[in-house]
Amino acid sequence: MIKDFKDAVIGKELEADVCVVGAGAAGITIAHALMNKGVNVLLLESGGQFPDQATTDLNTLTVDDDTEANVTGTRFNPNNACRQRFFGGTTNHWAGWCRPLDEIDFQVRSWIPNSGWPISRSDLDPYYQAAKAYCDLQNPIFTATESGLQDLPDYSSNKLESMFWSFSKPTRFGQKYRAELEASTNVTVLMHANVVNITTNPSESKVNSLTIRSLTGNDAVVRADRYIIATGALENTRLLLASNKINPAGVGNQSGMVGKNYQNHPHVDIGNIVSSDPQALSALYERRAPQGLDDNGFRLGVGATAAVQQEREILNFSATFQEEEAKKILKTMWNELKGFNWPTDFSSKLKMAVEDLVGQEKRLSHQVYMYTEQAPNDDSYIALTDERDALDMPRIKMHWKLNELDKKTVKQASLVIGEELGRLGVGRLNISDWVMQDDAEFPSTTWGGCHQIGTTRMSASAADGVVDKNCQVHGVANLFIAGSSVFPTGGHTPPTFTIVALALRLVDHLAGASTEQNNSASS
Amino acid sequence: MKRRNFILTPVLFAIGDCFADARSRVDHYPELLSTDTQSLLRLLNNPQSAAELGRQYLSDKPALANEQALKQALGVNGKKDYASAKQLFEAQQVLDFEKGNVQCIDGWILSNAEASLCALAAMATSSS
Repeated sequence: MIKDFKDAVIGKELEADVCVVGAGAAGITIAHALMNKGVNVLLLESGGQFPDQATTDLNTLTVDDDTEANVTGTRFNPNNACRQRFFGGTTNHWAGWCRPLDEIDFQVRSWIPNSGWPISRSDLDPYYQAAKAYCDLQNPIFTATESGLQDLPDYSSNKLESMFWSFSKPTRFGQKYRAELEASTNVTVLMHANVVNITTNPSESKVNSLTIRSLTGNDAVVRADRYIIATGALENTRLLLASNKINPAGVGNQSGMVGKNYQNHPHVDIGNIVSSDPQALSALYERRAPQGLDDNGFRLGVGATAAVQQEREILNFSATFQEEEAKKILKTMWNELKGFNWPTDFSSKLKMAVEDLVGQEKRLSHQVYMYTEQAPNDDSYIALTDERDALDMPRIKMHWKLNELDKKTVKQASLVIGEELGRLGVGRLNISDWVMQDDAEFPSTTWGGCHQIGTTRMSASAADGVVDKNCQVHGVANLFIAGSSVFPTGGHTPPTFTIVALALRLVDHLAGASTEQNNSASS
Repeated sequence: MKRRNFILTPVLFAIGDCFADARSRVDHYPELLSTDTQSLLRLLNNPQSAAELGRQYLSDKPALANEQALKQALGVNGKKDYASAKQLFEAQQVLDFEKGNVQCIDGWILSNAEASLCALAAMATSSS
């Protein structure tokens, strides 16, 4: 069933087996999967079915642009463009790019501080399989073998490989799963319910309750056996840090790692390929790009092999070759309008299209757009400020900082791509000046792709992170975190598919834990 | 207008038509040691554009401004017919790209062989 905490009399005390905070990709997946297992779930959502200004204003934060920051993210609109504070979360504007993380993304890489997950790709594989259905992926293509394509470039196996992203429709989780959740007798969705505090026992080994509040002034307490925080990397951080009545550092922050290692996927335009046959390049790289919503296509690009990452001691990366940015942007907007949806991020898209058209004389062939993993670093973080929002919650500030390894990766990746394009006779790469200049900063057009990663990283030991391999907050028995905030590192690929896979793994863990608990209770 | 954009179109011909065809691969090219400079410069469809890049390359690495040294870097020193020079040069391009022996000149990622040839064009232009 669906209820609204804003104006209905819900009661002052709410109970459930599992309370899920946040109805985005992770939260809805968890609630839906638990629903199918017969678990009594309370799913809390800050917004309503549609966006509203007062709720969106709760997102307001400060982008810290002090001189230490390499990138302040001028195209990173922190309030509205990236976060969607209503039912369905950021899937409401998700572009649908799906691809599992690579095996190397989970490994400890000696040249990347704080790298390494406490789980491996094979631990997640069964859940990637299950995530396909949640993301409406019909026969997705993630590898050259799966593609069956015979005319792929013969990249050196120790440098590049053809990279495939398959596309979800994209699935709007709020729209797709709403009816089932509404009809469910064991799931209650509570709209306009904002968690403002996590109350633990004095030793902080267990959560006793959550305090929820609406913008209309309703307050209530939620008690559950287990609590799952799934509000995105920024809000997960805020809630843990702001719940500081027992421990001034916040809940789950014994390591001091909450909010640290804030990452995105730096997106950069590195330059252009000048090819003797641009049509052939387009035919290859644009052959099955989706033509708008509801088109399950795939996108072909290039990506780093594990070998080149090891040899050059760089982060993971990928790139796409795009013929005309302006045409692509305008086509996307047109398809959204045809579907009676107002284009997301309308003004910035229009600005980008015009900028690209004005700059066309510089583009004789294909733009190379690169997506890189970001090196986790303590200087890139989310922290509380003294400012308060309408719910009396402290607002947060964002300090997104890229470092030398990020810069080295872009440079080496550009060289590798240039080498391979030259070797294969595809063309020559002409790169922007800043790419090769070691002391040059990332350009102001760099943005993070709205991929909020890190801040509650997964780790084997409590000293190194916030959650364990099962997404349980270290030392807090019944508190779990879902979403890309638990990624220690983020690879180069968009996070939603992995978020859904990890959410399904968490559900299996909870179900297993429940079974064990029931068995021990009955014996 | 930035110089890079000014020279972009002619370089297209130089790079697209001349530099991009290399496919074969061998490990060493002693035959090129006998190719003369003029035969080598015939490999360029647009020597002026190549010379522009060559000047930039030499301004970054003035120590290379020596014909014999460049031929050495190119693997060329002497006289050879055009067809053989072209074949061997193209193979050297592939080998350079494969081994990561590249130079970034005015934003272009070029093989060492290409960069050396551009430098030779620059020197030929300045001396003619």
